[in-house]
Amino acid sequence: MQCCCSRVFGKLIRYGATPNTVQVAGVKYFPVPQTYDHIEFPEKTKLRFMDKVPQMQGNIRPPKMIKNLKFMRGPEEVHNFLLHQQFGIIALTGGRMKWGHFEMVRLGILRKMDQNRMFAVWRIDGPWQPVTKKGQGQRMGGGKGPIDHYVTPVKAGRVILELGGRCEFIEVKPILELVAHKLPFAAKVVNQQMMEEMAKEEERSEKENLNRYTYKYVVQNNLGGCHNWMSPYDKQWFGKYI
Amino acid sequence: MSVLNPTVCLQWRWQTSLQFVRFRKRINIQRPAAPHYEKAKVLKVCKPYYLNPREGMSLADLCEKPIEVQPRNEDVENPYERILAREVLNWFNHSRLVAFFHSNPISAEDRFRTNIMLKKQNMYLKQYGKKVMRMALEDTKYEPVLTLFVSRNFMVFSPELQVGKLLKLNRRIPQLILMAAIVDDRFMSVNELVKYSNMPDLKTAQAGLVAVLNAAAVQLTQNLTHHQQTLLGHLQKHIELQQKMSNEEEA
Repeated sequence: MQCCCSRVFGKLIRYGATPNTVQVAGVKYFPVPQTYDHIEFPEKTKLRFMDKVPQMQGNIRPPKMIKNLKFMRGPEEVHNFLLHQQFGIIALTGGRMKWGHFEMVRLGILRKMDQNRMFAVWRIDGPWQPVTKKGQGQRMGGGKGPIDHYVTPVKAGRVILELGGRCEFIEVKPILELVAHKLPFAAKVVNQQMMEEMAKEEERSEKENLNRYTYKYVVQNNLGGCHNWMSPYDKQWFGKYI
Repeated sequence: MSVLNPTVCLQWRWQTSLQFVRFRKRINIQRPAAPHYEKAKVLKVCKPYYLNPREGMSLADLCEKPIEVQPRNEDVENPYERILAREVLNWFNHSRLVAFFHSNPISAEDRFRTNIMLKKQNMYLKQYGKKVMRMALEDTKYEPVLTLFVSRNFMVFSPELQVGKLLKLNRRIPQLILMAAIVDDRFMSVNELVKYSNMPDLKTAQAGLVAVLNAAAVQLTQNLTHHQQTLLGHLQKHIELQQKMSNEEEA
């Protein structure tokens, strides 16, 4: 039997009457247990091991690359939704993931998740972008430094990994949060419902904004000659991303 | 070819020129720099603002969530309640006597004892909530009974009609207070129940009715034959006395 206080309480207080609670017991409600029949498990349920150094074809000398900060800049347009429509981690800002981060995520999830009921998949590639570093104390010049390590650049809004299976958000959230806090960029644990809500909230905040002069408006109309000092990325993303 | 044809001149072409533009900043994604004064001014002006839904609300509504907005749990349909409702209606349809009690706080032990007492008389003690009762009795002939269901209630169902026993048991259980009862599809208050219990059985009532019907005629004959009857009586007594005296003399 469940017990709940009558809602008369609040109303009586408002009208200055003495509070009179009537405790009422209802009949317990046994909800129908959730079925997970619609969930398809992938072939490999565990996060695969990511190589520290990407495999090169043939006898090619591993190429050095420029910094390419553009791979971290701006919003993620492609991999920004949950494929399995269950739970995942989303990057809120751009950043770079090193092999150490990959291992941290992989082992952290492996230890905590129930391998019979849950599966986890990567949504980013292993480290592929070479990062060079000159030796400590070396003077400027002498060419580009040798490759120190490899990273994966990540844009804001990218899905890092997905967790799914016969489980609820309540039990999955602590597992993912443990990992999300340790990533080198701001990350958030989400489920499909939260993603939809975020999209709706964005739309709503744009629509219900009473300020006619948004950054977008300023940029599009070159108010105050802002094109003189604005970055081309401001003109593209209207101040939302760096 | 152009030498032979002097009318050909240089063709107009778009001159493409590359101008290298260098931006001062190498951005740091993780630690974004504070915006320039001009940009900061623009950002401040362009800051969004929204309608405040709580504006103009009374202090009471501000301090506490208004009742209209509070989440209601009653919308969830409970199949168990449906089953109970069906059970209740079944009890109503198959019992000749249904008594409604108001329940003051009663301990489980007392309730158990009451249950035993009632069971011995082929009466069954039941308790259901308001919601289940409404579900069961709405749109049936028992709907007026729902007005009794304020605070806690018990019900006693019996396939037999033993109103006198019910009233006796009511006196023996101080925590349960009899409010009304349904006797053979007739909704009665406590006073009517008491009257009902004091009524004689059908045969006696019929005899009484017959007596009442014959009362006028009987009264008339009595009035006419009154003196003859008294004389008869006296004479009979006289004969008896004389017989007694003669018996005594013989003895």
